[in-house]
Amino acid sequence: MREIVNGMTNEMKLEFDSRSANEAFARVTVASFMTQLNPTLEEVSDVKTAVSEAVTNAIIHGYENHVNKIRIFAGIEGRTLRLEISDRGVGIPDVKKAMEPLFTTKPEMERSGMGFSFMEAFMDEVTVESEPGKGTIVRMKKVIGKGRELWTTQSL
Amino acid sequence: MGISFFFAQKSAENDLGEIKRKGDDVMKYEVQENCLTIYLPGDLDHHNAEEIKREADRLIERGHIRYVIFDFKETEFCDSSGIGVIMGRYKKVCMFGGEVWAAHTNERIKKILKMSGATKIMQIYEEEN
Repeated sequence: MREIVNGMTNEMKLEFDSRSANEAFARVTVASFMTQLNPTLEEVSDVKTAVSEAVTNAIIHGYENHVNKIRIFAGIEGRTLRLEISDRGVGIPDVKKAMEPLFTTKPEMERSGMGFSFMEAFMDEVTVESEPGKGTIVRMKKVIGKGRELWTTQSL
Repeated sequence: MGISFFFAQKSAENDLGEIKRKGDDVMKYEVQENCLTIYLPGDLDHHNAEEIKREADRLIERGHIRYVIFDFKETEFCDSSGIGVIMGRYKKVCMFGGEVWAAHTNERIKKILKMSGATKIMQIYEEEN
């Protein structure tokens, strides 16, 4: 069963309003989609946190709390989960600066400035493409099942 | 404003335990003397954070709170917005020599607190088993 699943590619797209109530919906949906990779609970938690950070950024920063659409693309290739979370909001003028730990443009809202740090800590790869006035795409990758590789091959 | 006023305020706050319902998440706030316990919801994200901040700050200001305990017993999910809630409440009480504590943290929550550096400003209450 796993061999068949592992060789498979699978994709899904999700579009929803940038309301804070949808943060839980978005991360739970992605978590549900990734279960076919047979992830550990920790891997599911990692992905849920990363999705939540990206979606929250789109709501607060991208759309500045105006209601508009957020899109999520999720793809599975082999054991790799690939995510793209995009908005058509204000964009980020300086992506490098935005990704620095503790940097926030909204200190008055008590943003911790840890959003991108969490995404980088919990995913294997995070890249951000953004253009002021056009929007932002956050692309993330994570290989699922890395921890199990060793004993699976040994047991065979 | 004498000490008697201060204590009268505190005893008034003692009866103020509130229950908030939001979907399946129950949030409860409990004030005992100068200590506020926040029973956090299942998901501590940006969506829930806003209301917790508002309610906690109202109680902190009215009840002369110095100690804030974040109870994570029901919490399964916490992201950087949750860290923002802790950091913000710490800033409020530390000016008056207060402290911020975390209780009932599972391994995941501990990891998030450590990674974010929140453990530098907050004590984690460990239960003896």
